[in-house]
Order: sequence, then structure tokens, then C-alpha cells
Amino acid sequence: MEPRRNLRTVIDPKVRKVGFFAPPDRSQSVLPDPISAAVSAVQVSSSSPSGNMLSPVMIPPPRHHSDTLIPSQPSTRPVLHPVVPSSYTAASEFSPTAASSYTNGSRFPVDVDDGSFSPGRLAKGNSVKVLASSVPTVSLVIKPSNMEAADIPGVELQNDQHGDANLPKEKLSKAERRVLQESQRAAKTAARVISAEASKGSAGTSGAAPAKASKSVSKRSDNVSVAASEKKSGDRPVEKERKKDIPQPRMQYDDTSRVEKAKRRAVVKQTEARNRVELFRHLPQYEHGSQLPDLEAKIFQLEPMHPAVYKVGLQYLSGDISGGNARCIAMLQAFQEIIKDYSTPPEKTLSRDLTAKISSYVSFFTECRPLSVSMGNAIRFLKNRIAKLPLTMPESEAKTTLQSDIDQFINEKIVVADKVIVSHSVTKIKDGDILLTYGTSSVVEMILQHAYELGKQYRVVVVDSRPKLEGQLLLRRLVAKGITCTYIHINAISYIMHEVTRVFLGASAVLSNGTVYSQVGTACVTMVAHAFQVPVLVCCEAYKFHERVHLDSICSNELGDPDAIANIPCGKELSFPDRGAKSENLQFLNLIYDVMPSDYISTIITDYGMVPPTSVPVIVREYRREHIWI
Amino acid sequence: MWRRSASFILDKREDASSQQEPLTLSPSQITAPAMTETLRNPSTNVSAYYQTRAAHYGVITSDWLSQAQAAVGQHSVENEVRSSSSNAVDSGSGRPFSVIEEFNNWRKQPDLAEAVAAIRALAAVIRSSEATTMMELEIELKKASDSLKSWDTTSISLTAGCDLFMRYVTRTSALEYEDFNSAKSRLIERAEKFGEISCKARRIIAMLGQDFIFDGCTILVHGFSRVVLEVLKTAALNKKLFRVFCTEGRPDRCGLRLSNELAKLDVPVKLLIDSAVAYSMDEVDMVFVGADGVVESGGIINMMGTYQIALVAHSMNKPVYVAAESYKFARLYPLDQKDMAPALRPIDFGVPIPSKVEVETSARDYTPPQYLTLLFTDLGVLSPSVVSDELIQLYL
Amino acid sequence: MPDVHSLVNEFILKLKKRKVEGSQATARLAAVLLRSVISQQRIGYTNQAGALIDAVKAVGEQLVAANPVEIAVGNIVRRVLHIIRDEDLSLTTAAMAGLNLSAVSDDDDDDTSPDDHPVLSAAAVAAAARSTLRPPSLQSLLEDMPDSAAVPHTSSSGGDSEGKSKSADKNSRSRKLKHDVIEAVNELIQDIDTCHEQIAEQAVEHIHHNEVILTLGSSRTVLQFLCAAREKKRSFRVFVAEGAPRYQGHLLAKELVARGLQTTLITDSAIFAMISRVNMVIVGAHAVMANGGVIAPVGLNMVALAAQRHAVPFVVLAGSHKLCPLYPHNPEVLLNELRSPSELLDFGEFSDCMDFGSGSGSPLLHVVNPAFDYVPPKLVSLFITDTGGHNPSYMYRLIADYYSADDLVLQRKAAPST
Repeated sequence: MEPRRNLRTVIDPKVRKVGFFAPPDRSQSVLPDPISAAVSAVQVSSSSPSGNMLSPVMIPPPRHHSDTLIPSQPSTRPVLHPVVPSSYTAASEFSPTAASSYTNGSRFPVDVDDGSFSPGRLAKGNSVKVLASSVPTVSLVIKPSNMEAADIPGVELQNDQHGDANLPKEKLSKAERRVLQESQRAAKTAARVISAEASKGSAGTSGAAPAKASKSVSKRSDNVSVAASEKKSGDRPVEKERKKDIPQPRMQYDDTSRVEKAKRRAVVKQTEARNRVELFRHLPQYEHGSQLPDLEAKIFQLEPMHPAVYKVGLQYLSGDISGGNARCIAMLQAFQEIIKDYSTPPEKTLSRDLTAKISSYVSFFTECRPLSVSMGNAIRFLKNRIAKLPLTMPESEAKTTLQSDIDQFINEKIVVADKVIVSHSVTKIKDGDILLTYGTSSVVEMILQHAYELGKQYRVVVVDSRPKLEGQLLLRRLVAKGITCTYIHINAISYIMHEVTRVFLGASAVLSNGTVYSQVGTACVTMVAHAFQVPVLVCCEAYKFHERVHLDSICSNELGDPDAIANIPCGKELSFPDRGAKSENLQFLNLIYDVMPSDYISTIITDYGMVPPTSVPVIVREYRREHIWI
Repeated sequence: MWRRSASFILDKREDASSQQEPLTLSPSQITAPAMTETLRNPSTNVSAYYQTRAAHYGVITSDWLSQAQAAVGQHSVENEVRSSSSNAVDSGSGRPFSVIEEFNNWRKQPDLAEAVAAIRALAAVIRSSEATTMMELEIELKKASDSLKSWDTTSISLTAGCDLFMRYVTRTSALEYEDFNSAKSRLIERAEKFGEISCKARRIIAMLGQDFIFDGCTILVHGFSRVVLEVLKTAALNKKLFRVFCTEGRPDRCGLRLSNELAKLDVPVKLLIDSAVAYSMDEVDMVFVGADGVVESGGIINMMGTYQIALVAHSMNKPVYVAAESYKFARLYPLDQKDMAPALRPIDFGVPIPSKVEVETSARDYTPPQYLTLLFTDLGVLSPSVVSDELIQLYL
Repeated sequence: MPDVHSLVNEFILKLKKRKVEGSQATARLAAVLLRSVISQQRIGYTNQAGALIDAVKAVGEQLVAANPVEIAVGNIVRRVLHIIRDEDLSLTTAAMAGLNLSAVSDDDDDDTSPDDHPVLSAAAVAAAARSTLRPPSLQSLLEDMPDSAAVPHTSSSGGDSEGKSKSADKNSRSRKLKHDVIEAVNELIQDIDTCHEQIAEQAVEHIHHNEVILTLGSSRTVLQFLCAAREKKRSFRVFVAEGAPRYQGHLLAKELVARGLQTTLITDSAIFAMISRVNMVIVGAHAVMANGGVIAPVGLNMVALAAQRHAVPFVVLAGSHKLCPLYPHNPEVLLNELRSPSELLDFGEFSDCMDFGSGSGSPLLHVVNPAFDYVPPKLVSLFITDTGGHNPSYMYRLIADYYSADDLVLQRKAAPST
């Protein structure tokens, strides 16, 4: 148990650190000597296992690891120190003694573990889930306030957040690793820049920070209050506290009086800010609406942000640009602008500095909306190109090369690829077909139009779902073209599916195990199609292929605006007028993506032709060989 | 067994070549040599049930038909010879009356179901019985039905029919008819009415089944089944518009006969070879099959190929409907394909088969209930789980 | 009589205008209406049961025709018919037991054959007659096959023979029959009223602590079921799919939250994504068919498929008034209700598209908005009815208990029951 835990913290320090940094620091206020703190932590952990055996939640306190880890990074700790209390002032009010908040803090990492490693069944333990999501938010709190030295955790966190771009690199070749290191270094500097920038404005205003900061604080205070209420006498020894914790899950079942108590406690827990879905506490949940005006107001304050980037970022945020290809192209064009306006600062090399700059922009984009796989791949491509530039090349030449590279990428990987996909796909449409499509996909729309231009007689079933209702836009365009359409809601899919002959779908990413990552609801559509033996054709450009693997839609996803769910187009009497009051028991979940298993997919149509879902790794391999690592 | 059957094929081949007679149409030559006093099925190699089926439903090409017609004379003569000989045998064994004889006579009628024939035969036993008490009569009947059952172990509806009647006899005696003669006459009357019941059952099934046929649907039919034909006929008469895919139904090619019948009704028919089922399944809306027997699990025993059709249909989410009269419900519980008395039947491959080559001559297979959607019976539309319920009720 | 007529017409109008929502309410109203039909029906001395049956059938036919999709109406009509037959039978049996001799002397039009002797006990007759209430079985195959085709006749024959045999008893009997039937219908109404509670009582057996439950749309049965579990101090979490385009899920979510349940509202499209974290799917039904298939609010087939994919139990709650003795492939049941397209699309926005034809005159845009889904029995793990939990494969038995075989076909006149 112990070594495994250690391993984990070492592997993934960035996440954990932030989550539970606070407690040790608080503990230090009690035990001023860091060494003694570490010692006490060891004591605690060494004594706890005996009492802990029963509870899966009660893992030897990772605070212990943090303590042992931190001395090896002496610079980070003192820096973090001042931050934490600020976010914990509220917390400490609730905690009767330092000791209680200490133990309570020590439970943070446990929660984090749960959130990030085993987002399995919810049934783990009540206290856990409440806290699990505090991780990413904290990073954003930290960033603005400690400008210089927060870089390492901050950047790492960011990397973690837009894992789309960086995560895969961890298992790549040497050259790759070098690129990665470089980019990371660049990212660090970039992050420093950003945080500096952000702090120039009113504290904590970069991206989602304000909402988050307040939220996380309130959440923490709630946690603490809960924890405090759980531990009635705060001055009890830590060990005892732990022992007391162990039988808790059982109590609820057995002894009625205790069930009552537990119930009451549970109610307390429920009344705390739980308006995020437990399962998705590992995902950033942005408060839409408050973000946009804030960001707009900051336009003149974020100086080094290139206006093109800023514009695109805002468009992402407001949802004006959506869809994998559109976002990717917008981003690449913004980068072209940047490169056009770029001049290497003195005493810096173009490749390093530009990479750093781009990384900073990328993190800005990420704040606006998490990167898509397609964007990640494009960024990878661009960075790779920059890194490949010979040092001797003059700046102007390098700039034009990069610009034409980007043009070429857009052209080859997106425009031409789409044409190839369209030409492949129309061969699968014959007269009398009834094609079904879901949501909007630019490629599918092109296919339908092209097939119509070829004079094929077919009908289209446009399936739509709330809250985006993107299908209506597609429907409008198709009908305007003169294509016969049927419009249904996703719930009616079983009703219509028996007459459908082909299902055409777009995808936002195709993952290496053959699963397709796409707009939420796609998996439902393919599942029903599979049940009715209707072939499913997924149209996806090869640059959206990724070597990552997913099994479900929980671990990696994006959360949309929950208010979009709450507001219903027609039914007035059904909508929630008390949404402002925000009943704690009610959450709205607006998933953006879901993952469809590969066995529902008949074929994936790419610019490489029609491939079975089992051949995705092959495409990934070939693609990488051809286009990135040449 | 299989060794013998392999050589049997060769023997048969010689026979066939010498007699110029189609194999499947020659029950006489198969049965004749094996007719013994044991009153067992004349040939252990060949299912008498399937001989009858082949004789009744087997469809043949025109030259086959002419050959067969040529053979018919010889055929009937042989039959007479055989029946007289068996009569002689029977009288030799000291029994005035042979239930098997009776059964075989009834069986000859092409429109009469096997179970009906069995019950008629048992009724004849009652009639000729000299028993004076219900108990005696029951014992006598039991003996007769046992010999009937053992005569052809492969025919499920024969067994089921015997069981059903025996059960009825026991229940009737339990009903305390004071007068033995009236009880006896009632039994006989009921038994004779059974043919009517069976016809009525078919009509009920047809009425129930045709509800499930909707306009524009495509139905896949396997083998020849009177009930299925009746269902389709009723649907056609009710002006339903549908299309039928008939499998060829090798080796006796009874699907051809069904397609002929349907063509007479102006139902669009398409013939498939047996192996084209999976290919055409996506066009099919439902599968209709008959059944030789419905077993306790709710599964059916039917002509070879039903199982694979059901599997294909199941994997493509197509409903499989079984039309079967309730007297085919049998107290059997096969666990797998080999867990039932094999019904063997010679197969004509058209070319000589080397003796080293083994030939699978089983005539039927077992389709487990999970691949069946519904059963249309004269008891109503049943899900497979009801079969067991009915059987439990009957035999409890 | 005009009173009943106006009542019937009123109800028919309501059904036609789809003013009655929910099968429970409909079922209740139908039962109440039929009760008044029965109480107003004047019955003669002979064949009282037959008269009642005819009256109920006549009304029932109209009701079913008014809204064939509301299957509960047909179910209730059949239930009432079954009640009449049952009461008639039990009365006959009782009368025969009392007047053994006279009863059997002229029961030649009953299904026992002329050979029957007076010794044949009344119980045997009753047993034979009871078998006519049940669907035919293997047992009766040889016995009364020829007669069973004319079951309506036989079931009323008890009254006939009775009428002939003892006229002094007539009046009291006729009143008794009506009285008993009305009593039984009252019981039925009560059953309908309490079915939610009875289903909800079983909640504790199925919902455990910390479970995650998914449901779609709104059903009062589901709401009460979940609340019952909640009242039993079970803490669990509910995902509610909103059930577009009617968004009943919002309604349910609101109710659940008001009762302190942890509720998460999700879009219908997120069902597949979420189902892997769900312990159980609990939904209501519109009707349960004889083969165990379910006519359910639209979208549930998708949920059931997803549940099957992830091996999540799919539990259907249905009061016994939702049990329908028909099979889903029966054309009369295949009916689905198509609701207004305006629920999906704003007419204002799309009216131009709907109009311009493609030359052939047909509109380019179709909007399909069905109200129901059919969930095949193999996707259903369990039915919870007011009589307990049942496997889909056992539904036929419940149906056999509630309905008479002769009443299955309500609409077709002169149904060829052979």
C-alpha cells in the first residue's frame, strides 16, 4: 500500500500537490518545524494503517508524501505557503482547532486520488466526492497571486488540463521528448507571463478564475464545515479521528439511531455546494456568462495577447466557432497572424521564443474552451515545424516557411482530406437510401450536398438533441438545397431507425482503440443503429486521430453550461424559476462529448480511405510518420 | 451407427440405381427388409416420420416426378404386401389387432397429422378392446401407446399425441363415469373428433398468426408445414400484401412444394437455397416455421436448418414465429442438438459419395427457446415460457 | 340511460381530444364510467351476464375507438368483462351447489356432453366452465374443444339454465349479480388508486444505499417509488433524463428535489455516456404487452439498449391496469401516437421550408414526433407491478389471471374466434 501510494504521488505530483498543499502548511503553523511536521506525518501514517484497514478511503495520508517530497523542491513550498491561507481563511473559521483542519486537510489528497484515479462507481464514500474536484480550480486560484515562482506547479497543472496537446508526448521517442521538454520549458515561461499578466489585472481574473476562486473557496469552507461537524471534538488525537472515521459507511446501514445521525450529517453534506455533478468533479466547469464580459473587459489589459488570438479565443468562448475543423482552422489562422507579426526579441532564438509564445496562446485558448484533439494535433504539428527550423535560417524566411506550412496543413489535412472523404463516402450512397445524421458535421454536410449534386435520390433524417439543437441549422441548409429531410429528436431514434439504410456521422476525434469521440448523443445513435443492423459510417479526417485511448465518456469530457439544460425552449411551467435559489440537491449536467465503442462502427472514412475501427492505430502510426516526424 | 449409415448410403445407391427410384420416395424398400416381429421401427437407420414427411411433402423435379409416379404402383403394391405380411405377423403373435397397423393406415392420409393418426389408432384399440373395467382398458391402452411410441421414437408428435390421449383417459376415468361403456364411448368419440380438433387448431393458429403479418412484409419460411401454409393462406385471403422467401429445404426439397402452393395463391414467392438464408435475412421481416415438436423448454424440434435460421434471425433482431398445434407439445427436454433421438434420413447428393466420407443424415435439429419470439398455437399466442407452464399443468 | 350516454360521450370526447393524461387517470375514469354503465343497465331474467357483457362491450368498443393508443382503456374494459364473467360463474356454481339436481338436469348446452350423468358434480361443471375463462390449455384440448369456440354462449348459459330451473330465485339473483359485479368493479377502482403505493412499497427491496438510478421522463409511479425508498432512509442519487421534447424529466427532477433527493438532470443524448455509472434504470411504462414487451415513453428503447450494453438492470414499474393482453405485433397495438411537430421545431422559423415542394408537390421537410417506443421483452430485466416483481417471460400468466380469452378482441365485430 505504502509504496504504491508513493509511486502515485511521484508520478503525478502536479495534481496532488496543489490539492493538499494547504494542510501541511497549516500543520506547520502548529508544528513550526517542517522536519517535525514530516516526522509527525510519518507517525500518523505509520500508526494509521492498523486502524485503516477497513476503509478504502483512508489511505495513509498523502500529506506525508507531500512533506517528504517538498524538501526536494525547496523553492515551491515557501512560495505556495502564502497562497494557501488566503484561500483557507474561510475554512479556518469553521474549524474549531488547527488540528481538526489539519486532519481535514490531510484528507484532501485522498479525495484527489479518488477523483482522478478511480472515478468509478459513486458509492465510495460521501465525503470523498465533495472534494475531488477542488483540484483544478485551486490551480487557478494560485496562479495570479504568486507571480514568479508558482510557475512549476502552475504550468504542470495547465499541461494536465489541456492534456489534449501534451499528454501523449509522455511516451514518445527521444526526439519527441526533447521537443516536449522544450515546449514545457516554453510553457513555463509562458505561464509565468500569463500569470503575471493576470495578476496585473484585478486578482484572479484570468479566464474562469473569478468564478472559480469564489466557488472553490465556498466549497472549501463547506468541506471544512462538514468535516468540522463530523469531528465534534477537534482536539482529539488524529489517530482517534481516523479510527472513528472507519466504521462510518457501515453505521448507516446497521444501527438506526446512528443511521439517523448519519442521515443528518448527509443532509448537511448535501446542502453544501454540490451543484456540480460528483462524477465530473475532475473536469473544469466554467460559469458561462460571467466569463465573457469579463474577458471582453480585459481586452486592453492583456497586453501581449495578440488580437487575433484574443478574437479567436472569444469566439470559442461564446460558441461562435464550434466544430473540430472550424476551431482548428481558426486557431491556425490566428497563429499565422502571430507569426506574421512576430519578431524575435533580442538575445532569443526564434524557435524557442515562438514556441513559448504559442504555448502561452494555447493555454489561453484552453481557458476559453478545452482544446480538441484536432487542435492538439495541429499545435503539435506547428511546434514541431518550429523546432525543425534550422537555427541559421533568417527570421523572415522562417516566418514565411511557417506560414506556408500552416497553409499547407490546413489545405492538406482539412480541405483536401474532406474532399477525399466526400469522394469515398458518396460511393456508399445509392438511390433510394435513407441516410441518418446526427447534429452537425461539416464533412457529412459536404457529403450530403455532393451526393445531391451528383443527382442521387435519397432522403436525410436529421437527428437532433438538446441543448444545442445544431441539427436545425443543418436542416435549414439541407432543405434550402432541396434535399428531402426528416427531422426527429434523438429520443425518437428507435422509431425511425428501422427505415434508415446508412448512418453518417462526424467525429471530433478517433482514438487509438477504435472508439470515436464525438458530440454527445452520437453513441446513442450508433447503438440504436447497431441494434437495427444499420451500417454506421464515421467520417473523420486523419489529423483527428489520436493515440490516446478511452473506455468511457466519464474520464475525459467537457462540461457545457448547465443553465442550457435548465432552460427549456417551450415549456414555461416546466422550467426552473427557482434556478437562482439553486437547490443543492439539483444539478444540471451538460456533457459535450461522448465516446462510442468501436463495435458500433462499420467503417471510418478518412483521407486514407475507408478503414475499419481496428485500423485506427495504423492510421495514427502512418500519420505520425508521414506528417509530423519527417 | 454412423458407420452403418455410411455404408447404408452406398447400399441405397445401388438399390436406387437398380430400381430407378428416388431415394427419398422409397420408404418401402427401406422398411421392408426390417419388418420384424419385434414391432420396432422397421429400420433403425431411417426415421419413419421423415419418410412420411418426404412422401407427403417432398417436391421433386419433373423427371423425378415421373419416376416417382412410375414407382407408385410398385410402391402401393409393396405396401399392401407389407401390411398383409405384418398382419400375418401380428396374428401370429397372438394379437387380434395391431395398433401400429392402424396407425400406419391413418398415417397414409396426407392431410392427417401424426398425432391425430396416433389418437385414432388408440381409439381403435379401445374399440376392439375387450376390457371390462376402466383399469383394464387403461393398461391395454398404455401397452398400445408404448408400442406405438417405440415403433417410431423419432416422431415427437406421435409420442406427444399418445401421451396426451393417455392423459385424457386417466383424467376421464378420474371423472368417475359410473358406467364403463359410456366412458368408453365418450373416449372413442373424443378420439374420433380429434382429427377435427386438429383441423380446427390449424385454423385458430392461422387466425392468430395472420394478425402478425402486416402489409408489405417479407416472410421467410423454412420447410413445408401445413400450419404455416394455412397461416399464409389465411393472410392472403385477408388481402394482406406480403412476400414470402421459401428455403429449398434439402434434402426432400419440401420448400419447393410450399412455393408451389403459395404461387397458386398468387403470393409473391422467392426460392432460396438453404445456405442463402443469412444473405437474404436483412430483407426479411419475420421468420415463420412449423415444428415437429415443441419441447418443455419452449424450444422446438424441427426440420434440419431451423436452428441456423433462428440463429441468423436472432442475431439480426428478426422475430422468429413458430406455428404449431398444441398436441405437439412434448415432455422432452433436449439440452443440445445431440440430446435427442436422432431421426435419420438418407440424403441424395446426386453424385456417388465415397465410402470413406461420412454423411450427416440427421433430419432435424433443436432450436432453443431464446431464439424464438412467439409460438402460435391453438391455445393462443404464447411466448416460449408458456409451453412449460402448459405441460406442467397437464402432467402435474 | 341518457345519463350514461352523456357520460360516455363526455369521456369519449375527452379521450379524443387527449385531455386525459396518464394511464392511471384514464384507467380510473374508464372503470368509473363502466361501473355506472353496469349500474344503469337493466337486465332481464335470463342471460343477465350476457346482457351486461354486451352493454359493457358496446361502450368499451366506443372508448377504445376514441383513443386506441390509450391502451389502459381497453384493459379496463376487458377487466370489467372478466369480472362479469367471473361473478356470473361463481354465482352459477353457488346456485348449482345448492340445486344440484336441477342444475345438471338441463345443462346440455353447457360444454359437458349429453353423456353426462347427474352425478357429475357442480364442481366439475364449474371447473369446466372456469376453463373457458382461462385461455384454452392442453388439458382441455380433448375435452371441450368443439364447444369452447362458443364460449360467450356457455358462460351465459349458466344463467339460462338457472332461469329455466328456478324462477323464484331470479330476481334476487339478478340483483345479486349486478351487485357483485359493481362490488368487484369498485375493488378494481380501488386497486387502480392504490397501485402506486403498492408498487412503491417494494422500493426498499430494490434500491440500496449509494445507488445511482437513472430514469427518463416523468412517471408518477417512478416518483412514488423513489420517494418511498427515500422515506426508508435510503440515500441514493438519481439521474433524470429530461425526455425531450416533452421535458417531463424536468417535472420529475423538480419533484424529486422537493423531496430531498439528490438529482442530476441530464440531456437525453448523455444517456449512453452516463449509463456506465448507473446501478439501475427505473422507468414507468405506458402499457405492458402480453409478451413482456413495453410500450413506453419515447426514448426508452434507447435507454434499454444502453442498459443492456452495460448490463445495468432495466426495471419497469407498471400498475396492473397497464397489462395488456395483446401482442405488440397486433396491428391495433402497433399504433403509435405522432404528436405535433411544433414540439420539435418552431413553425415560424421553418414554415417556409415546409412549404416549398420538390416539384412532386411533397414537402421537403417531415417532422416525426412519436410519443411511444416499444421496448422488446429481452431488454427488460424486471417488472414491478402491484402484485410483485415479475420476469418479462411471466407476464402472460398475470394476463391470464386478469382477462378472459374471449375478450381479447374488443373491436372487431363478429370476431371469428375460431
